[in-house]
Amino acid sequence: MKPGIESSQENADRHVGLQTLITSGLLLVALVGLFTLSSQVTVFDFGDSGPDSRFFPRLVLSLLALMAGLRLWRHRHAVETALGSTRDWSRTLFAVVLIGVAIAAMNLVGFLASAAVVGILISWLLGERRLLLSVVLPLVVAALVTLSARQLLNLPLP
Amino acid sequence: MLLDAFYALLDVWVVIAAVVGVIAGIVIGAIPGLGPTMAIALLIPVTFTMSPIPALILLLGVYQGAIFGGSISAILLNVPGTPSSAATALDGHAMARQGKAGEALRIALYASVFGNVFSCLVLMLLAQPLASLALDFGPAQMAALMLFALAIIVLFGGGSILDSALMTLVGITAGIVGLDPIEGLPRFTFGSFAAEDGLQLIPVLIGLFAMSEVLLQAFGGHRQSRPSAEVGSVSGHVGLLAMWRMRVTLLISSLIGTFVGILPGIGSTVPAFVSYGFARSRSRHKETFGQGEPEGVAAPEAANNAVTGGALVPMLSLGIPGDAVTAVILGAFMLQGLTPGPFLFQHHGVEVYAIFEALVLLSIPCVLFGLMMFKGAVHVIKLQPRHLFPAIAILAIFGAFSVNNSLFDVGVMLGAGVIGFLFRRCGFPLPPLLIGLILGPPLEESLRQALLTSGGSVDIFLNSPIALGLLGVTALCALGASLQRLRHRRQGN
Repeated sequence: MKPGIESSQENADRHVGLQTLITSGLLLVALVGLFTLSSQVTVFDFGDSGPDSRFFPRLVLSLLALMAGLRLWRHRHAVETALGSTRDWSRTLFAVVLIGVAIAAMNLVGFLASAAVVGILISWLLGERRLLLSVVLPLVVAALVTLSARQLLNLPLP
Repeated sequence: MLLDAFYALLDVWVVIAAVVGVIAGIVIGAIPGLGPTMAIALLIPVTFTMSPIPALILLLGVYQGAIFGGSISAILLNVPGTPSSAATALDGHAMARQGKAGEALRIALYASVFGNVFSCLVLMLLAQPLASLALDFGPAQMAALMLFALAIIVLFGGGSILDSALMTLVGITAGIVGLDPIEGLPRFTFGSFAAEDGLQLIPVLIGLFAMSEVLLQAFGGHRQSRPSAEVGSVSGHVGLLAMWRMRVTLLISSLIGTFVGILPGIGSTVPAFVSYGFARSRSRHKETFGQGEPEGVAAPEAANNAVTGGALVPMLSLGIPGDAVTAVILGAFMLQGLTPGPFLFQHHGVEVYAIFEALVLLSIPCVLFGLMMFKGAVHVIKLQPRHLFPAIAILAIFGAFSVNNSLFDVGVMLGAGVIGFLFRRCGFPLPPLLIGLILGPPLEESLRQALLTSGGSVDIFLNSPIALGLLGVTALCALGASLQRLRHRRQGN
C-alpha cells in the first residue's frame, strides 16, 4: 500500500474529527455566553411584565447549546473529516496572522502597502513563484483599487 | 407607476450598469470557485456612490449573468462555475465531447433567458399583492412569519437538519451582538464602542463568502491548480424551432425553479436537479440523458435561472431572503436606503418597478453578450486560482473597510472569514448562518414587541388566525420533513 493512501485511510477512520472540534467550540461559546449573560447584558427593571434584554439571547444561546450537544451525541460514532496536515494548517494560520498584522498596520503604512503585501503573500502561498504574477500583479491590483477608491469613490483610505 | 419606472430606466448610467453587470456576471460565473454571492458581496462597495436604480441593476445584472456564466465552465470543462450548474454539466459536457459545445452553450443561454423572463413576470405578479397582504401584519404575525422562514431553511435547505439548525442559531447569535433593538442597551460588546453597532452585514458576508474561499485556497496550497483542459470549437447554431420543441420542458422547469425560489433557503441547485430528473422522466428518450441530450441542458438552466426572480418575491415583499445571493442583495438594498419589506412598495414604488422591468430587459444584454463572449470565456475559465485569489483578498479588505471607513469592520471581515473557512472545512452550510444573521434582529424585535403588547402572554400568537396559521404550517412542515427522513432511512435499510 502506498504511504499516501495509508495515511488518508487512517485519517478518514477517525471518530473525533474537525466537526466534533468545531461543534464542541460552539457548545463552549454558547455556555460561556449563558454564564456571562448577566455581566454582558445590563437590565434596568421598570416593572414591565414583558421580556427583557436578556430574554432573546438566553433563548438563542440555550438552543445553540442544546443543538450543539445533540449533534455531538448523535454523531459520536460517525466518521468525520480528518483534521488535515500540520503543514496545511500552518500555512492557513500564517495567512490569517499576516492578514491580521497587515490590517492592524494599515493606519501606519497605508492601504496600498497593506493590501499589496496581502496580495503578494496569498499569491506566494498559492504556489505562484513567477515575479510578474506573484509580485507585480498584486501590486497593480492594489494600486488600481486604491486609485479607484480615492479618485472615483472619494473614499478616505488610510 | 409602470411608465414612470420605465422612464427611470432611460438613463445612460442605467444602461451602462446593466451591460457592465451582465458582462461581469458572465465572466465571474464562468470562473469555477467564484460564484454570484462572492461577486455581489465584493461589488457592493463599488455601488456606494451610485443612485439606487443603476446600483441595484448592476448587482442584479451580475446575479443573472453569473447564474448563466456558471454553465460555460460546466459545459466546456465539466467543472461547474456555480453549484447550480452541476446538473447542466451532465449533458452539456457530453455534448461538448461530441463536438457540440457551441450548441450546448446556446441552448443553455436561451433556456436561461426563458427561465429568467418567466420568473420575473411571476415576481411582478406576486410581489406587490404579497407586500400588501403583509401590511396588515403586526409584530406577532411578523414573528410567526420569520419563524416559518427559518424553519423552511432548516428543514428543506438540503443536507443535515441538525447542521442547518446549528448554523441558523450561530447566525442569530451573531445578530445579538450590539445594541438591544428595543431598549438600546449594549449586549456582548465587551466594552467596545465599535461593537455597539453590531456585526455589520457587508463585512460579515464578504468574510463568509470571499475571505473564507481565500483561506480554503491557502489551505489547499499548490493542490488547487485546475488542469488546463483543451476546449473544442464553440461555434454552432440553435434555431427557434429547436427551442420550441423544448417548450414544455422549459415551462415546467421554469415553474419548478420559480416555486422553489420563492421558498426561503433552498437555493438554485435543488431545482436544477429536480427539473433535470423531471425532464428525464417524461422524455421518450430517457437513455440519451447523460449522453448529450439537449433537453438535459435546457431543463436545469431554465430552472436555476428561474430561481432568480422567485427568490426576489419573499425578499422584496417580506424582507425574507430566499437564498445566500438574495441575502447579499438584501444588504445592498438596505445600503441604498431601500429596506425590503411590506413598506418598500409604498415608499419606493418607482424604484421597485424600475428594477422589475430592468430584470426582464436584462435578458437582452444577457443574450447579446452571452453569444459574443463564448469565445472569450474559453480563455477566462482557464484562469488559475493563484492568479485570482490575491486580487479577491485585496478587494475583500477594501470592501469591508469602505462600508464605514472602519478598520474594526475589516477585523470583523477577517474573523468571519476564519469562521466561514472552519465551517466550510466541516461541511456546515453557510446560507442558513447568513439568513439567521439577517432575520435574527427583526425576529427578536417582533417577538419582544408582541410579548410586551400582550404583557408576556403567548396568547397573542394563539388569538391571531394569521400567526396561528403560520405556526401550524411550520409544525406541519416539520412533521412532513421528519416523515420524509424516516422514509428515506427505511428505504436505505
